[in-house]
Amino acid sequence: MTRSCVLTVVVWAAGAFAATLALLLPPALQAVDPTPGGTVATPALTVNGVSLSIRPLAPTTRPGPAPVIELVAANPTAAPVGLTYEVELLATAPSSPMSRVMVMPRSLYRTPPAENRLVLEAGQTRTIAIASGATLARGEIQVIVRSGGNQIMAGQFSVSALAGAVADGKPAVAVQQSLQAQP
Amino acid sequence: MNRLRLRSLGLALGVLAALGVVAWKHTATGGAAMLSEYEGALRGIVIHYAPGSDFVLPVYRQFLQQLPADVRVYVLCPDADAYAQVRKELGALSSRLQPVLVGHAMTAWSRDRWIALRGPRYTDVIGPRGEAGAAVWPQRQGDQRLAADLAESLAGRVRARTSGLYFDGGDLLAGQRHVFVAPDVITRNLQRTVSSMAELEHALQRLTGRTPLFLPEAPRHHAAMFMMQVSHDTVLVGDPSLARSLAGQGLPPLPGGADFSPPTQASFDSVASVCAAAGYRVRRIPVVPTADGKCYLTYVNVIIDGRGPRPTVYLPIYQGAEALNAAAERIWQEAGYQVRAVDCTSTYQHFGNLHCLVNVLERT
Repeated sequence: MTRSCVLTVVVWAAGAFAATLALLLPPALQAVDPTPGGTVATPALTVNGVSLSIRPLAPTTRPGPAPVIELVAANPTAAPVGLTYEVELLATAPSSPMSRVMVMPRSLYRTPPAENRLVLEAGQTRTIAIASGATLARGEIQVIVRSGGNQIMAGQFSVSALAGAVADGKPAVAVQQSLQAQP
Repeated sequence: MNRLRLRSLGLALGVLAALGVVAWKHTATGGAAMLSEYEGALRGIVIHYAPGSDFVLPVYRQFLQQLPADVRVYVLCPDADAYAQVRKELGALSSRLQPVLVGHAMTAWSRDRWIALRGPRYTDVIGPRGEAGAAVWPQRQGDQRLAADLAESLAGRVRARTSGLYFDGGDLLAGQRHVFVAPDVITRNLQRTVSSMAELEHALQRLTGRTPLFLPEAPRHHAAMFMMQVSHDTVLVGDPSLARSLAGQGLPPLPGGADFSPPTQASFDSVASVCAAAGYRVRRIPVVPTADGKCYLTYVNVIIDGRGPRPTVYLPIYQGAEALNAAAERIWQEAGYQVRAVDCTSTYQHFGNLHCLVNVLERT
């Protein structure tokens, strides 16, 4: 067998090898990397080039008046953009310690239609303070941002009577557990 | 040797070498995939018992009485007192329980805590990045540790890992081709753990070893509350309209009453549409959703044992809904199953039924 014959076999084998791998490997991806991954630092909904996000909230707050939500709208494009948006606060909580899931979220606040129009000049960023006037009870709050037919959970926080409480260096939920365990 | 033969030889060698690499990679990485709902005989299941969850006991009694003796039953309890309590309540049935005492608060719902993937050497139980409500719900916070507790107890056979994604085990329902994905997985991860749907799809593929099929307009509940895959090509999807026609013959108490509204019907129909578009034969089965959005009289929240030529389905039924129970039983029989009924009257008002209480760890 001449050198050219060997070369022909090697070249075709290499090509077939690469093509077959390219064809078969993606479906053969298996569950090998379920370890904790990344976190999106600031969840943002992008519509017509405009990014809508909310300023990060404290992870836990006390029952009572809802904190003011700050919606940040940034238009990095070179043209003015107009859009409508909606911010909704949803509240949920466990119905009992042994229930399977929390109750269906109920709406505490939704941006009034008269206030949900926004026009941003090219390169402009605006911060809109949203004072919902809602009263928060123990549970979890989701901040939903909608625009252009899409939505994201832009923020989430817990409402606990023990927000910020620390005993013996334990976080609030540990304090709550120890209190519940007491007779 | 002419050039055509040389090229063919090269082609064959290249393809063979690539197939060898794919096979090696499959084995080396575990080749793991999320357990299918309907394939294989049950070998090991996991249930929970915690103080305050006595409503699970009637379900456990009926289910365990009918379960083949060769199925291992692990019961997770917070402590020895709780285990003594469940043993006492289950009487002779308790002889088959294998206890795992975890030493912390927990809920009774096994299904949502982890998904099981069977690899060549180990079963991997993979828990979510975090449990919804854990910050305000001590029992749910304890639930976050149960996958690790189980693996520690079954070291050498079971490994625990934590996913980078937020999910409840019940949000994911696996068949041979797809893993069906309930809408909360999208809400809880998009722009939080992943930046796009494409990234979420990739992450779920890596997590489950199966192709995700998203159900974005489905009811806001776990997947096995509204659908179940029953064979390679067939799914059952809940249909409130089928239940509505039978509801006049009686329904048990439902919080807020039954919800047969058009939006709710549309959410179930959307599941049927997505499955049909993916090539599945879709059969519909009665379901009664309620106005609170979480209590369902559902007949897809089942455990399937795929052993033998005629597999068995453990079917939840409800006192006061006899016409619905009978209709559901007929549909499962027509799908090729022998039906063993399990009365879930005591559990549905806690937002879950049989499939929610029983997680499958091992199948053949």
